[in-house]
Amino acid sequence: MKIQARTVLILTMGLSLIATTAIGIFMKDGTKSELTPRDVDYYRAIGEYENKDRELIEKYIHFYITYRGCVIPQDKLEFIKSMTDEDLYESKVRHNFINTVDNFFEEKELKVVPKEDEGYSTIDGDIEGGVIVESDECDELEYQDFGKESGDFLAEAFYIFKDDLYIAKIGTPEGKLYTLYFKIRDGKVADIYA
Amino acid sequence: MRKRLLFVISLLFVAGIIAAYRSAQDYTKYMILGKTEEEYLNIIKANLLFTYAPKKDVPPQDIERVWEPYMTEKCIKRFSTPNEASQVKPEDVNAEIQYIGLAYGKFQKDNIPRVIAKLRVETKTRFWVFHLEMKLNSEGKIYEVQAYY
Repeated sequence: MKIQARTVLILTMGLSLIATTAIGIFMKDGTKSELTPRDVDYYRAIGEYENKDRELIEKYIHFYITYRGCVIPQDKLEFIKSMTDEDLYESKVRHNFINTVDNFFEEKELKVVPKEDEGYSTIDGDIEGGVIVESDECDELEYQDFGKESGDFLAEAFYIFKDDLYIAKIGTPEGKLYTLYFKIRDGKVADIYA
Repeated sequence: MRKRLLFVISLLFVAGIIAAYRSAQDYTKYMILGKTEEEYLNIIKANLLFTYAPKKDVPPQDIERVWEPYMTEKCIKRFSTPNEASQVKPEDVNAEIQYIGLAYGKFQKDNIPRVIAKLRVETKTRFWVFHLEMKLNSEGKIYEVQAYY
């Protein structure tokens, strides 16, 4: 009996369709959700994504928390700057460190002037109301007056793919744990919040 | 010649179906207990609210029951045991999930997947804002819960 090529093709297609339907029916688990095309795209993105920036972001978090409220060395500051969204750096990040906040070198010395007629002392100055004097700048202000490092350390950083976000679990020298969120956009830190 | 061409086409057709089936299967490895991320997090969110701000007269067994598919038995016991010393009545507690996210194992240093949730729990006189870090085992069940600020 001679079997036509067309018959072979139809049979093969038919059988494979039956097989895939059967696999679908028998392997379907009632507790499993159906994946929508959106889900498939999302999971494909997860499968393809390689978290290459983790080390850099951890280094960033380490510098950010280590020098919080302290003087950050220039090379570390440059790194922080290069990894931060420009707006965020100006609005928040530079206020994190002592040596990058506004007017650090413009600390003014206050003069206390006795005000004999009213029986108490006040602070004299050149602004209206007589409060601050601009006479002597503190050009000898020493960095060592401030702590060198905060003592906080990065215990762990969790990456949340959905939000492109690192949640940093941070330890303190007192043994407490707190959390900071580092939102990433285009490979740079775009927001930091608690 | 025509026969061969038809044979090759039919082989490609079968191979295509198998490849599509396999690729769909691969994505399910990222699902947690057969749920998509969104579905799973919604369930965990609802369970957390049920646990931290239960309605009046909810027995602890009900809390255990909602966690049963998603937590190991040992963890449920620790998580759902009410604080006997607490003076707060369930009806006086409000809870809010301020953030919830799934940290897939493949993106973590220790390859352990986690759910991270930020909660605000409020009573008439006090409030607490804290994080829960819930580690998932290979089955997708929560086996360890850690709380911190």
